[in-house]
Order: sequence, then C-alpha cells, then structure tokens
Amino acid sequence: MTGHDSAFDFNEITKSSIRACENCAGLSLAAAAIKLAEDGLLNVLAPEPLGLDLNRAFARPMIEAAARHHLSFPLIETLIASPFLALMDPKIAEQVMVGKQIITAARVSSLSADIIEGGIKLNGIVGEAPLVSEAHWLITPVKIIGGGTGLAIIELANLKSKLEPRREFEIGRPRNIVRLNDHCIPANHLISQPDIINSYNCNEMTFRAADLYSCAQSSLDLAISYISTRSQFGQKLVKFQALRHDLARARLVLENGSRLLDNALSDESHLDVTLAKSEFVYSHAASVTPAIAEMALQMHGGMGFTWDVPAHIYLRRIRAQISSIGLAETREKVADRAITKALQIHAI
Amino acid sequence: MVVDPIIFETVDPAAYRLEVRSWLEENLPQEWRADLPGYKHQTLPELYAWERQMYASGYAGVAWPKIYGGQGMTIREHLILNQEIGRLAMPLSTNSLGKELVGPILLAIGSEVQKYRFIPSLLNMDEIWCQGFSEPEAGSDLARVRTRAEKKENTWLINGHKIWTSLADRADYCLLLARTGPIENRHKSLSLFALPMKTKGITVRPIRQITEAEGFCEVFFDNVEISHDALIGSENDGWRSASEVLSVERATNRMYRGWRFENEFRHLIQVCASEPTLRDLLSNDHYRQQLAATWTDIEIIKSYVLDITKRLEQGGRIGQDGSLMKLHWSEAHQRFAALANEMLSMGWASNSPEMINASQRFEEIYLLSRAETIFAGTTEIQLGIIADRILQLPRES
Repeated sequence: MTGHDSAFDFNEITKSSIRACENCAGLSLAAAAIKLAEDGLLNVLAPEPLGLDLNRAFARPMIEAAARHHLSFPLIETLIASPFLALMDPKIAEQVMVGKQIITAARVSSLSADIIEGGIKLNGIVGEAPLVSEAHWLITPVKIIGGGTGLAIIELANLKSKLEPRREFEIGRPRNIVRLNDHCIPANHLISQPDIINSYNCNEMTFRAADLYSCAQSSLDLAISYISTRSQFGQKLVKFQALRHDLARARLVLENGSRLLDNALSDESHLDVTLAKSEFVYSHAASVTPAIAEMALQMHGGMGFTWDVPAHIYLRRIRAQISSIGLAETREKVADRAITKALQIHAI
Repeated sequence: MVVDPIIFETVDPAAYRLEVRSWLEENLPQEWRADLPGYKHQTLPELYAWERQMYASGYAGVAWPKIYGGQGMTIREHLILNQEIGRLAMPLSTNSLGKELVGPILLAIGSEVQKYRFIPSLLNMDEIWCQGFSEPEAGSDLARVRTRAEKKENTWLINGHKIWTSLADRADYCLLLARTGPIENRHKSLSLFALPMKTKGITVRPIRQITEAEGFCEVFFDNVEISHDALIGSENDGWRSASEVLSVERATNRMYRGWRFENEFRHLIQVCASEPTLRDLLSNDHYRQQLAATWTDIEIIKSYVLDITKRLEQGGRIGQDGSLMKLHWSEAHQRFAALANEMLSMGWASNSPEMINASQRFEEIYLLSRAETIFAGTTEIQLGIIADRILQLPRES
C-alpha cells in the first residue's frame, strides 16, 4: 500500500476500467494504447513521477475488465513491465505510459545474456509473446552467463531475425517466437536484482490468475443468461437441477479463487510469502478455469459451437494464458512448499 | 456467533494464543493425540471430564456473555482458540450440538429463564443435547416435518418419529423441531422445543454407523407431554429463527476445521517422510500434484474463516458464505482422506508404530468424512442454496 492508495476509490476504478475497455472496441492497437493511457489504465503501478505508484491490488479491476471485454491490448504485460521499465529506462517508460509505444512480455525464453563491454549480448529463443509484430518493446526473462537470472528489454524495431508465427488460440493476439543471435542491447536494459525479478514474477502470476478468473466468471455469466431464457422440454433450462448445481459448483470454485487472489494481492509483508501466494493463485486459476469455460460452452448446446456466441472467446483466452506460462513448474513449486512446510514441526 | 460489541471485552491476541497453546500442551494427555503413536480412544466419562476441565479453564463459550456462563470475549478469541484446538489432533466435543447449535439458538431467541437454565449446564457438560430435526420422510426437506406438537391446556403433546439423531441415547435434552400448525404452511408452522429426553413416551433406538461408532439413533415420541415453557422462541417461528442462527453458525462453528485439516496433512507428510516404503511417494509427481492441490484447499478454508472473522468484527454480515465454506471443506476433506488412504496403503509391509497409528487414524477419517457431505445440509442442499441465493437463478418460468 502506498501513500496514495487511500485517495483512490476501488469501485470508481472498476467502473472507469470497464468504460475504458468498452471504448477500445474496434480501435487499432495503437489507438487503444492512447485511449487506455488517457483513461489512466497504463501508469497505475509505475513509480512517480511517471505513474501513480499504487498498490498492485488496483490493477485487479483493470485486468478483470480487460478480460471480460476481451481486450486485445497487452494490458497485463504493460502493468507488469511498468514498475521495472521506469527503473531501467525512464524515457521508454514515459513513451509506454502515455500510449505512444507498446510493450509486450514473454513468460518463457531460453535466452542467455552475456555482459560485454558496452552492453549485453543475447542469444537464444524468446517464447510465445503476444502482439510482438505490433509492439515496440519486449520484456523477457533471461539467464545471465556467469550466474543468475534477469529481465531484459528488447527493442523490436531493431530485430534482425524474422518473427515466427505460432498458433493463434486467442483471437486478436497473435503470438510469435523470436530467435536472437548475438543481439545487443544497452547495459541498462538488463535488470538482475533477485527481489525485482521475484516481484515481477509475483505480479505476472497474480495478474494472469485475475485474467483467468475473470474469463471464467464471464463464461459463467453467459451460461446463466442463456439457460435462464432458453426453454427445452416445456420449461426453462434454468429449472433443471443438474444445470443449477453445475453453475453453483462453478460459483464455489470462483469464490475460492477470489479468496486466493485477495490473499496474493494483499500480502506484501515478505516477498517470499507473496511469491508463494502468487504461485498458489496462478496454479489454482490455471487448474480450474478451463473446466468452467468448457462447461459454459457446453450449456449453450449447439449455440456454444458457433462463432457468434462469445463462450469460445473466453475459453480461447484462458487456454492461451495457460499455455504461455510454466504451469507444471508453478505447480511443482507449490508442491515443494507444501511438503517442506508440512515437515516443519508446529507450523501453522 | 452471537456477539454484542458493547459488552464484550477483548484481550491481547498474541498473549491469548500463547496462553491457550500452553494450556493445551500442558493438559491434553499425550495418548489422546491421534497423530502420535500410542494413541488411545477415550471413554465417554473421560471426554466429559476433559470438556468440563476446558470450560473451567475458560475454553468453552468463549464469545458468549458472561452472565449466561460464557467467557465474554470476542470472535477474535473464538478464532484463536479454534486455531489452537485445530493444530492438535485432539478429541472432538461430545456435546457439540449443545455448544454449536443449542447455545447460539437460545442466545438468539430463548427466554431469559432458558438462557440461565440451559447454557451454563451445557457448557459444563452437565446436560448433553441432541438435535431432533430430520425425519424418515423429511431428511433434507424439513418443510415436510410431521412430528407434531399439539398445544394442550398445560402441556405440549408430542407425537412422531425423528431419525439421524446423534447422541440421543445419551442426551439429557433434545432440540426438537415439531409441527405446530397445518403442514401446508411448510416452514411457517414449525416450532422449537427444549425436550427432556427422560420424559415418558420417548423410545430411542440406536443405529449402527459405518464407522461402527455408537450414538446415532432414531427417536420415537408417543404421547410425550412437556410443559409450555419448553417452547423456544415464538410458536410457528422455529424454522425461521433457527435458519437465521444457523446461517451464521454454519460459518462460525468448528472454525478449527482448516487447522485440523492442516494437522492431518502434516501428519500424512511426516509419516511418509519417516517410512522408508513411503518416502518415494513424496518425490512422485502424481502425488506431489495432489498434495499441492490439498494444500491449496486448506489455504482456501482458512481464508474463509479469517475473512468471516474479520467481517463479524467489523459488524458485517456473513450472507451465504457458510454454505460455500461447508461445501468446499467437506468435499476437499473427502478427497484428502481418500488420497491419504491410498498413499498409506503402499506402506502395507511396515509395522512401525507411526505407520500403524497413521493407518488407523486415516481410515477413521476417511469413513467419517463420508458423513461430512451429508450432515448440516447435504452437498445438494448447499448447491441449491448457492444456486438460489448467491447466483439467484430464477426458479419459476
């Protein structure tokens, strides 16, 4: 919690986020960036004077609105990058915060970073980052030769290699693989402090979880709306207990997730605790949300298999989010923490 | 939880936790800890004496008013006590219906005479209570209760049949839900009574449970006469009052569950780590994933409890969160119980005291957990509540 948080009304931010995302419908990515910046969605987490330096919990309503309105713009990527971008290169940060430039992020990469005189040399492959072909900057994890991990920012206009397209599970957010061969970046475009890397990872997992839950909630809302109006066998579908119970069970799962999300967003006392809670919530969200979106699609019957019913859009977005982050690795971290903690005597 | 912030006092939470923890460590017999080798089942008199000792030391009725025998503290101390109770694999209450159901209902709608008369005695284990709600034709659907209470000049005349009445064979009193008006009025013609179980005309027939445990019964009422002052609350208002209390109690009763669940989880992991034949399971991806999911389930249960406590402290309402928590806990606990038995079954060749004790404990937990999705509102009832009241799905076309 920063000193400014109390000046901002959470409900008001929720409403303005929804409005901002609605206003982006039909806009190009560049126009959406300007619009979102004007509406104050891009700089909430960036430090002053570029941003508002708010608690990361304020990002939640923005991410939820973006997911619900299937915003193509890389909002999560901008939000997770913004606190670090300001540290690495304030000029780029300023361009991104005002919407003149766009940043995207890759969760996985095999990049190695070699610190050489006058800069950093990168070699390897960057994983499936969305909208690389339209963005100006890419933030990606790297392994530093000599030890440690880091985050690097790459200027996409300077790329010599061709972008390799990958499957487009998600509509409007094409993904690419980027292969780098002795690609040089300035020294200040690499950050390697462990606390900063962990903080970045916390935000990434938590924000992606918020996106997943919001997509699942939107799917659930679609299903409720549909079965409340559709009749079969002489009565409204909503009267069938089997369907009511499926929906209730989905509601329970989302309530459970919301609690994990609250926990992950509220605890900033120790970074390690926050990291554990972020792993928890991402692992849970990635495990439970696909089934909810699939159930919602199923409840629409044949209509669920049509392009016009947006159930598939949420399902695609969920699947894309999960495929772009190391779920197995995150689950394994949760398991490791669970077993380690259980072996500690008298742990509460 | 009945809490009046004006007359209730609070203490330093950290100091209170330390006090409770120290007291339990000093007073709970080692052989009563189900997670330690050498565990022995307790006798009923031993359990009564233990709960009496807890009450005498201030560890029962924590958030109930002092004038009725409670400790006059707050929901925060109630939570701390439950957390500390949950941390230890200690015996469950043998007067849980009295402490978790009857006490809160009396505090909410009972007469002053009833509060003074019954609350101290149930806390001190002088009077054990059972709950007479379910009937053969009215299990989950209590609107179909047929046991009738007919108002006579000086008495209520009770006739009917209750089932699934835990502890009826040893109870001194029954919290009876009976029909006092036309059945067509469904929930609106039901009343609550404090019925003495020694009254003439009551027959109790024990029912053997899947755990082989005793204490599960059906009860027959044949022209049972009880005094007018046995009525709790207003005539025909029993179900509304009880539901209101229960919607809160469902969330505040047994707050120790999340921490007890964690105790069981820790026990399983520790046994696996100490047994050569089971140790590999902790490196097995399949089981690691399931253990991770279990731990997530436990954290969710704890977060419900902590959130409910916070809201009650701030004077907020619980709403239907009790249903969400109960449903999640009961199903997660069943999954865990099955997992624990599966994992421990692979240590079949071991005869270590730790292994034998754990196998017995988790077999009991598994069987008992089958009841957890049935009692206090079945899974189907909880799903119905979520569908009706949280999702507000329309019922009529």
